[in-house]
Amino acid sequence: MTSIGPQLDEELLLAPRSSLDRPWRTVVWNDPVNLMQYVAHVFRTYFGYPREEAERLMLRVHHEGRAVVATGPREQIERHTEAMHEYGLWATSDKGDG
Amino acid sequence: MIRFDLAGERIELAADAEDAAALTRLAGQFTGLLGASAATAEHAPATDPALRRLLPDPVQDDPEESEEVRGLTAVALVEHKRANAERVAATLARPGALEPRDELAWLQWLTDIRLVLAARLGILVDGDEGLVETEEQRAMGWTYHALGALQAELLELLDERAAQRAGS
Repeated sequence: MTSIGPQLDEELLLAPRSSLDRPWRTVVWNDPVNLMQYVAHVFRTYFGYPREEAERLMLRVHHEGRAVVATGPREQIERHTEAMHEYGLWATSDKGDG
Repeated sequence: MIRFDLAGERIELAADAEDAAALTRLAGQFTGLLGASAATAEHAPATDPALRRLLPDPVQDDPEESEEVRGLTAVALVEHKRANAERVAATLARPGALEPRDELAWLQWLTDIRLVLAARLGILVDGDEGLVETEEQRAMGWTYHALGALQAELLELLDERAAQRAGS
């Protein structure tokens, strides 16, 4: 039987207590126009993701329709989302669902 | 014919007069479209589907927040896209080695102009072929694909250069 002792307590302590604690996030959505290699290029060059991670995120956008590409404080996330719009990617900011 | 080549560290643009003129006209139409939106962009989502795609809602599922953020960012975003189109036109007027800022302008503008063409052709989801009923639509579809191929070529050269840099 698995212990539900200290580990669980620690998880509860670390879990967000309210929506105020949730980080904002930039979500990139799939679109039929952007080339897959362009999307991966943007993730690599703008966010600095290593090649494999950029490819993984691009494929998630392509297959699942969207992917979270950044999380953080609201101002930073809004700046990232605007940068994605500069690149012509379809992106939105939202408050993570915890 | 418009093409890119890698010459040492530099990306070089080559363009014949006819295609350079056609693409410059397209860049001019693009800035015209943005100009039409500039007056209202910071106040409301655009009604033109092409503009809606160029200037999407910034915040998901929250129209009020979205409009607040749009009010703060729309003017700069429109200006960024207009500057890209002008930079592309300027390089077409004097082809040759590109500055790093030109490379980014080309990458981003090729995306933006393809977003506009796709909206006009009704390419909305993966797999859409787009409208091909009129001569104009067929020409637009050809341009859409040709500019996609041109962007892929530029991306490959940037990749090749990055690999060279990593290896040296």
